[in-house]
Amino acid sequence: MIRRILVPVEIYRNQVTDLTREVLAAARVVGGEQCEVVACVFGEPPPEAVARLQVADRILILRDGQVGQPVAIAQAAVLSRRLAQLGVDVVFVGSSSWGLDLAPLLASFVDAPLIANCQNLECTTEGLRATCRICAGKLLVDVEIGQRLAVVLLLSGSYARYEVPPGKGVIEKCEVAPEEWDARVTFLRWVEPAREDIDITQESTLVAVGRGIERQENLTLAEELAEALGGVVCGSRPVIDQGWLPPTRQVGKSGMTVKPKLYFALGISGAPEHVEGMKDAELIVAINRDERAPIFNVAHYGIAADLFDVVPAIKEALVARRQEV
Amino acid sequence: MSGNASSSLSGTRVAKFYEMLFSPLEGSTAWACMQCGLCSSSCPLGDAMEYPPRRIIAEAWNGSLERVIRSPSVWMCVGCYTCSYRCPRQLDLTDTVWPAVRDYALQEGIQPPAELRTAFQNLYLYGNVFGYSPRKRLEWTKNLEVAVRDLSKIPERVEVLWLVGCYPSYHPRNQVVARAMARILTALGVRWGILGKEERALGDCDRLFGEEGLFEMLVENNRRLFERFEFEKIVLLDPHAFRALEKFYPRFGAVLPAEHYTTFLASRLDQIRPWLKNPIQARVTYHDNCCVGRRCRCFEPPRQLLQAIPGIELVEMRRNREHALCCGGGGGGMWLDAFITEHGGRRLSDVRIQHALETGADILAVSCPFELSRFEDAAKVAGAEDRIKVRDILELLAESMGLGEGGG
Amino acid sequence: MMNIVAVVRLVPDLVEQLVVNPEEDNLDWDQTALTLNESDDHALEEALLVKEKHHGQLTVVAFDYGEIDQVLYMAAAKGADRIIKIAWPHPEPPNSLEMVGALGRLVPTLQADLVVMGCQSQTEFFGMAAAQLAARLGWPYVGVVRGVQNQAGGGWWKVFKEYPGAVLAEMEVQLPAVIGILTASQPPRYVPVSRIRAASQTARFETIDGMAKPEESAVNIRRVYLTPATSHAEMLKGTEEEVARRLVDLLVERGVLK
Repeated sequence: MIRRILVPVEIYRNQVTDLTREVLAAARVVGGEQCEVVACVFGEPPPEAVARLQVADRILILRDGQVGQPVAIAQAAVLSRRLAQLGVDVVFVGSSSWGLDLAPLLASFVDAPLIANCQNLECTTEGLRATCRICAGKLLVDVEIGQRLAVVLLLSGSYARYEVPPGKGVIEKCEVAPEEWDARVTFLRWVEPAREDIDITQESTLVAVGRGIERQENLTLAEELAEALGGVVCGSRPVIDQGWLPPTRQVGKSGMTVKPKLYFALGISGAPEHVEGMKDAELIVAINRDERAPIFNVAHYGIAADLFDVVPAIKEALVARRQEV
Repeated sequence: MSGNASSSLSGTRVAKFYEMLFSPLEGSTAWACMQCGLCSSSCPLGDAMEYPPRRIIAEAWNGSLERVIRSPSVWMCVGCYTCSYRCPRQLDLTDTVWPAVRDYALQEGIQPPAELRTAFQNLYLYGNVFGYSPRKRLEWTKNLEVAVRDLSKIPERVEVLWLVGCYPSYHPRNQVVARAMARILTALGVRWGILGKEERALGDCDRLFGEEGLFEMLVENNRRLFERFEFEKIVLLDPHAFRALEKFYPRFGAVLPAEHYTTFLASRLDQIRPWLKNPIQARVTYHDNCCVGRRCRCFEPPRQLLQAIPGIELVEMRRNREHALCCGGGGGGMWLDAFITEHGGRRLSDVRIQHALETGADILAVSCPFELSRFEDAAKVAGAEDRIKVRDILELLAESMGLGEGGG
Repeated sequence: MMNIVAVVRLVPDLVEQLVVNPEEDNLDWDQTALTLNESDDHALEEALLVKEKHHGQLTVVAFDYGEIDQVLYMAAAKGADRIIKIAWPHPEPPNSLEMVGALGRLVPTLQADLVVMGCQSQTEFFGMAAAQLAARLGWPYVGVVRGVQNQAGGGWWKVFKEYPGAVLAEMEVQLPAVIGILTASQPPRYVPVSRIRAASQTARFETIDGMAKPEESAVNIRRVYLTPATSHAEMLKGTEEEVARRLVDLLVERGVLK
């Protein structure tokens, strides 16, 4: 029986992140109706942000001073001192860059077990059960813990489509003394990438390349296909890390999240970090030599063949089709 | 970017480099160079190189290698042997000078182009340039109708140890050629075996790239591996691997009788001829590979094989035999097309395909695994895939013998 | 002189098919090929860059499990000054808690100013070693970092934390600290195999016994299994031309062609 789940809220660019909303929904789904969901906000939130937190029963706002700075270690320390008195059973944290710092630090500060890479959760009479996804998505581990304070890092995706009713949404404010704030880490500013490049999140057709493209020069294959489709080329992390495409073209967990009408995945295996960034595309076509590549679990249509053979054929078929019209 | 804070040349590394150049194991000493420039002007990428062979030697004489090793031209040699073939002083440029410069660059912490780095890493970790699991080396044999003797599982005495090679084992286009070879060897009654999942790259590519340490490691592992088996000779599909076995492995104490498949099969032409029943009505031109061709002066066996196939009309490109233009895949070239084009060079296979097209040939016949994909790409780029097909000699033989894919 | 510590770990090599043990409570470690954890490779690179720029001393630490020696020779060839192996005489690799415990005991003895390690490892599910080591040491921590710099001098260092959309958070950290690296400022450098082999002749490792103790987590494992395919794409088959034509028909049907 879980009586109270606390969800630390991530506010980024003045908005509650989609992942936070998903984690709140997860808390409601997993905790059930008897469970109280507490959204914990660091610093005074912008008014529009509060509206997005209505799923919670309580919205706890910790203020003031630097608490809103995105410094996970300091925020974890502040939160750690309040979990016991709040009577929290489990803390659900979204697996974002901020969450990946916050959750393990918090777990250590309160000497609670941490369950990371969690893709779904279940509340039982004895405690909590979870399924963790590890080894680039190839291995699953079912775990459980007994009744005790625990911290869970939730991967995005499993609870994204749940529509949950609003909670009581009671707002409370709590003061944080300046001495509480760990000043050994400070946030200076955001560094934006050079924006001369295309914004792939605004494109309706994307042709993505992964390691399977093998060499930089083979990008022309993808570019030609993109051109034939009226779209733009993007890539998974390895392609960007090699410098073959700029970071603004990266799709995935630490890149962009895209929701185009059409997404071609060429030579992409389908590791979770990439899939996270494109799984909501309306139509996903994957081409990969390995018929067991995880990308085929996400794609709508798949071709298990050599992309160097198939892509030129597709381009030709497109050209032929246009000529018919 | 150097691994060390100071950029001075390290004593032992420099000494090793100079020894390789001035007291080489093969060919003339670099002191014999007369700076005639025949190498640089013959090099298909010479005009794009900041430091073509002649200049490298000039700088070596002056002891001023700093700039040479930092120049991108260090990575632009594609191992075509034209300079070595033409050098009037018989310097072993391709096999000695280039690897020496590259090895020196790597030792000084110069980072090779990213794709090469990945290829080296993969060779080191997995024994193949793709980074595929060694366990997948036998996938080309799936659904193969002829029996495959996997010596790593059941060691037995064979006549031919066939080292399949990385491309024929893993790359779908080349796997077709591997299967053709298997069927042909079986049809000829040759007692052949392969090493299965224990086979690893022989290491020639990385040797030419300058990764001497990696090559040594591969040689040691392979030598121990071969010692476990009994065979009369080794046959290879890859001319680069053949060269490694023939020329360099003996320097490490591994003396093994090796043949490229073209000479092996040509010596059995009398046995093969009765099998060549299906005619192939086509005009065929043959591209001489660099390692068996120009380097070994071995030009006729592939032509004998092709001419034995009924229906084939063999035509020559204007540059053939020792004057053939390299496809650009050796010496790391397979991974460096983007790098080479960025630095003022061009993809040689794009030039060579034009030579083939000029002959009016229907088929461009090859005998090196790199060439298959390079020329097929080149044909596509030239918009000529309908006019010319690229086929390995083995595919043509198999077809004529009724041993093609799908039994045709 | 600045003291930098880099921690490197081995993880299952995903080039091979993973094999679960018959009891379904762990991987079959005998059949599992291991490779260097990718973010640790980046952490090592970042540590080398810091060492080179600030004339520091770099100590590389690893648990003595699997073929870690090869990785350590590589680290020595790349410029590590000191290499410490934590004895681990067990058939399974250490879990996050065991790592944090051992490193938490070792690091204070090294007078380190900066500890870098990968911010994640692909087998972590009941702990995250980098962050939790920092907590154990009572040190500051920032993870998912790309790049560690100190241009201004002094005890404050800049780190760049990766956020989605190629955005970075520029942060300052007071040393001593643990930094969890995701990607290094430049790709991990290549070191020729001959240097690794030379290092295997000359490099000396220090092995420390008794530092690591087996630890049980409060998280119980019920089952370990390979991820089944839940849904699957409709696979298009045939020759390239057939497949291409069918695909284009589908795209037209779905109205996604412009």
